[in-house]
Amino acid sequence: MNFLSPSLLWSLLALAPLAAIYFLKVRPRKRSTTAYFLWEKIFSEKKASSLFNRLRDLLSLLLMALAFALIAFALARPELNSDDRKDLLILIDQSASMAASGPSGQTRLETAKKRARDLIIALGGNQRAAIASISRELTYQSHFSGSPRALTDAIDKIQPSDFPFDIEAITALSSADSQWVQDYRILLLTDGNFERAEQPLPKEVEIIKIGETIDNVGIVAADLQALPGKRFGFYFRLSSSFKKTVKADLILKNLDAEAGRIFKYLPMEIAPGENEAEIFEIEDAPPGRWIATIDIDDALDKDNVAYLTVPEPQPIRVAVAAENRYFFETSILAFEQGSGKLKLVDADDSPDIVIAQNQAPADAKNSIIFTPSGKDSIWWKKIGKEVDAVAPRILIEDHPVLRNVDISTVDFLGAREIETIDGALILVESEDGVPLIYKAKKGADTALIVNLDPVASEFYFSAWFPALIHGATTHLSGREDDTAALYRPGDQAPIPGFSENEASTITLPDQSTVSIKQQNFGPLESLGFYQISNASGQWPLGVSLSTPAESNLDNSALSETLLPISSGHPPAYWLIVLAILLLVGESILYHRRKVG
Amino acid sequence: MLLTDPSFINRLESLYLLARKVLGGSLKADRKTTKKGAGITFADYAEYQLGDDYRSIDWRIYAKFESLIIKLFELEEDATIYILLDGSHSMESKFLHARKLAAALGYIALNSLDRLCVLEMAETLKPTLDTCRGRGNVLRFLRALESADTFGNNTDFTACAREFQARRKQKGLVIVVSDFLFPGGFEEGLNSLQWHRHEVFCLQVQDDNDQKCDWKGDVNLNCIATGQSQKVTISPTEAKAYEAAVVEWNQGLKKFCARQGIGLATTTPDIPFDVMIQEILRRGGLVA
Repeated sequence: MNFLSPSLLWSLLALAPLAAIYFLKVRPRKRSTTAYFLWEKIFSEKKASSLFNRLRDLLSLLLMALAFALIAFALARPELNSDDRKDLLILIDQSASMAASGPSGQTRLETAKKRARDLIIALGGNQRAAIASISRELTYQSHFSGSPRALTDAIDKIQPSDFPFDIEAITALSSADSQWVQDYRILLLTDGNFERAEQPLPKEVEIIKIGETIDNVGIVAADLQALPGKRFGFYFRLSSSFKKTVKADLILKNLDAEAGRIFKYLPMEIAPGENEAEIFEIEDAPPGRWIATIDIDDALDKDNVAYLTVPEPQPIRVAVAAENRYFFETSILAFEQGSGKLKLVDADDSPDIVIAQNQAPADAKNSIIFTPSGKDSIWWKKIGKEVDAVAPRILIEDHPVLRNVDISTVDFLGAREIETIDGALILVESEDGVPLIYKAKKGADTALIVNLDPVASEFYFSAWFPALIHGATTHLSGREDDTAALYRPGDQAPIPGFSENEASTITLPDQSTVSIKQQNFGPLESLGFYQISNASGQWPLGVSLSTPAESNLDNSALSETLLPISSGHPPAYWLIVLAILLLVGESILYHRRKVG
Repeated sequence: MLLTDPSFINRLESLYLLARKVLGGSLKADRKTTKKGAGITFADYAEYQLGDDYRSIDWRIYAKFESLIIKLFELEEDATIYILLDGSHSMESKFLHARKLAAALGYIALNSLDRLCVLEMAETLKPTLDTCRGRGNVLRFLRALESADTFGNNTDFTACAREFQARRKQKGLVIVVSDFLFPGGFEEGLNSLQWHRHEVFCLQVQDDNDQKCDWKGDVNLNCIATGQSQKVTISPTEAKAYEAAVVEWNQGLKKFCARQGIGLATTTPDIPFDVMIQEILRRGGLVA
């Protein structure tokens, strides 16, 4: 044991005058009585307590002296360990796995917050601490402060999140400034359920292990895809931290059809660890929102459910307004019959996209124009003579239009000198700077101009022709990325049918709404179903935990690396409490002396 | 207040007049006694015994029944009033009140031409006023009372009673004015007085300090009379025990007096002395 303020031990010398004062204090008052003989009779019957009465003053003095000595020791601030009393940065893991309940019924996060409060209580007089929560990213809940109340309030503010623990957040913190290591101690209160194997925690971070291995089963991967013929394929994988095989039922149901009809009820035996993936098909499966649930009583509820979506088919309506329609229509029909993403319609049937040659129809909103020609067009200013020996040069790599096209193999024969309208986005040009593929925008209308003659360049026979048709139609309709069946917290979700001119409304799982004008929405924060609404239609999104590290609650491999540190009430506190108890005891004796 | 103060004497005179009215007739040497003798007031009949005054034989009864029956008459004599005033230190807080009571009783006695003798008692007797008679001694009596002071240690009532009997052979009415908190008890002393054919009347004077205990906690208990002391802790239990002991002591006195035919009146300094004397007179004087 050592003392932070040993000089205050000199205050023990005050015990001597204290004793003197005490004896003066306890002198009884003199009272005269006329019936002394009656008093004698009364007290002769109470001789049993006379010994205690004689010792009482001595006992009282001893209690006072002991209480004073304890206070003196408390002032000297004894320490039971060799805490170096650096300022503390306390990081509390708030990732999804911290919501798991232990055998006591207390969640790991609650346990972590309690440990953090104990650290705050033990702060020395000049010591400061800061509180931060960490899951997907590190969020400071308080500045460095010595105020226990402010720090405790900051701890209380931390709520469990649905994000998995991202080790990058803490790695960046410790490597940002090496001064941290010298000036502060970084304490991470975590259950250790993160992908530590890939990227170990920095050694400067001291781990305070929260919780032990607890039994849990979770859906760590899931997918639901439409198959040809009104069938869906369901893929899933489970992980278990139970020590032995357990039985549970998997229930798959659709929320939008027939009042939550159950489509699959699958009794399962779940082995410890990560289980083999399983796949099965569902007949007559309707699109919409699907929930897969593992019916089991375990530590973490949120990973027992997977929220999945299969959107209603909403094909892009494409019309062909070209003299040579065959190849265009064949390409579109191929995609209509395959993925169903494109649908061939007549030009007067309000198409989303019109594929044209030479000129786009006047009423077309989104056009793909091959072999541009003619002087009067809103999509170019001027067209000149045909150019020779064109070698394409890609200006925007990975543009959605060109994503699946090897444009370097395309002969741009029949390309003409063309002057684009202002603001056009040139994707491909010739070495001489002639725009070969560009995207132009005029008000709400867009057009993709493909400056080549498909016949002359034999582009109809190229494998890249349908790929360009698909890329151009999905891009111009804002549908190059449709939503996935399942997202994880923290993911970005695309906005299908995105348009810069129109906002999309997002309905969150808690039924609140936000309006955005972005191509992507995120990060997705809450588990459950989102709904995207815009001019192109309704698009559900499902967000599920589906993270192996957050579901497998076996943290036996994690070991605490905490260096000696003071926690809980310091010894001085307990000395003061004991002193108060002694003083209360002495007061009772004193009270008895005063009032009997 | 001085006992010789004119206003005090006026209050005594009022009491005397009241006594005359209450007790009726002349108080001049006609104080009724329980003894039968040769007075003029018929008291009772009795069978004739050898030696009786044959003048007392009721001849009309003899004529009717042929038996000798004599008439008894109340004995009228000069009574002697003894006032035994407790003068121990335990009476300090009540001593003035006790002296006022003694003054009132003595004043009535002297005005009624009774003999009056006042003695202070503690461990021994101390004469305050030798036996005297008549109105002319009133002032002397009051001065003697006024100059009386507490003395000695504890009151030894038994010893005082014996000493009193040794000194005063004349039978009379003995009025004991005291708190009756005698460590040696009161029974033997009162018995002794009665044994020697005195009529005894007890006038108990106690104040709140005698009857109540307001002290709590550690106390150095000191005997006001003897100076003895001890350190004790008085809790509510002890305080209640003391108050119960005083009540029991007083009950003991009351029962003893009732059993022995001794008159008893209890008062406190809070009750004015003349109110107390009026109460005694209205109850029928100093009789049991």
